[in-house]
Amino acid sequence: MEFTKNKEGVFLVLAVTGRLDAITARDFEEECKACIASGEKRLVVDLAGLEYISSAGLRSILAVAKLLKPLGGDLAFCDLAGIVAEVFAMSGFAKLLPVFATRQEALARA
Amino acid sequence: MSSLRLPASEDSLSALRQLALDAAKHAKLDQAILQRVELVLEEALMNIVRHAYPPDAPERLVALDCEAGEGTLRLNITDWGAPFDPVAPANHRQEATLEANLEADLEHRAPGGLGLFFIRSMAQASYARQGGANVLTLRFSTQAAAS
Repeated sequence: MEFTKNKEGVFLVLAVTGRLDAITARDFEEECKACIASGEKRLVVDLAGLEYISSAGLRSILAVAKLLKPLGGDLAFCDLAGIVAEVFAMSGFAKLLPVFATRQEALARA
Repeated sequence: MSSLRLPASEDSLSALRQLALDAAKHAKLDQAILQRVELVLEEALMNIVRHAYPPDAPERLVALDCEAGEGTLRLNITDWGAPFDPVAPANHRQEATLEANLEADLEHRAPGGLGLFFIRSMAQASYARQGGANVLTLRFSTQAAAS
């Protein structure tokens, strides 16, 4: 799994490529925690390059979202496709967390 | 039919995944089904890795048997740990809790239960206790998309 970070106004965009599974979920959580520790509170995770996600990946996402909430921050997602979109929809995560079709839409929020 | 029997640990996931994906390609399952095969397999295997055996178990094994047909795939996952049926919920209350959890907001959302939910939703799954073993059978087919 690889990460690319871009600061866009108040948001930090984290583009994730590869697989978010039982093996890599910890890496995702650590990467997000490092962003939060450096003062970022509004994360947009771009999943265009994510090929695969399992329940272990969802658990790490939930942990990060719960960490951001009391800080007044949020964790949004964009560009989901294939199994990633299917898993978000089936698990209810698409309703639980802000999910946008494109990065532009995620960044267009006030 | 292709088979592998390996230690029930995270290190075995990649080899077992490759075995199942090769069989799924042999069965000519389409890409969307292939991804479900991969997901359901990981959920079933991680459940065994985490919960099937007590920490002091002398031998912790998991076996995967794959049988590919024309547009169909059958996976048998066997472990020799504590009896556990991942297909039937232990009771209706547990299932109701899971359904409520799927609708819960961020503060009330519990982290568990999704793996079993994916197994039941994305595959045609059946379970049998055979001798001292748990055998989970997962069927996939191109015609009957399991959504």
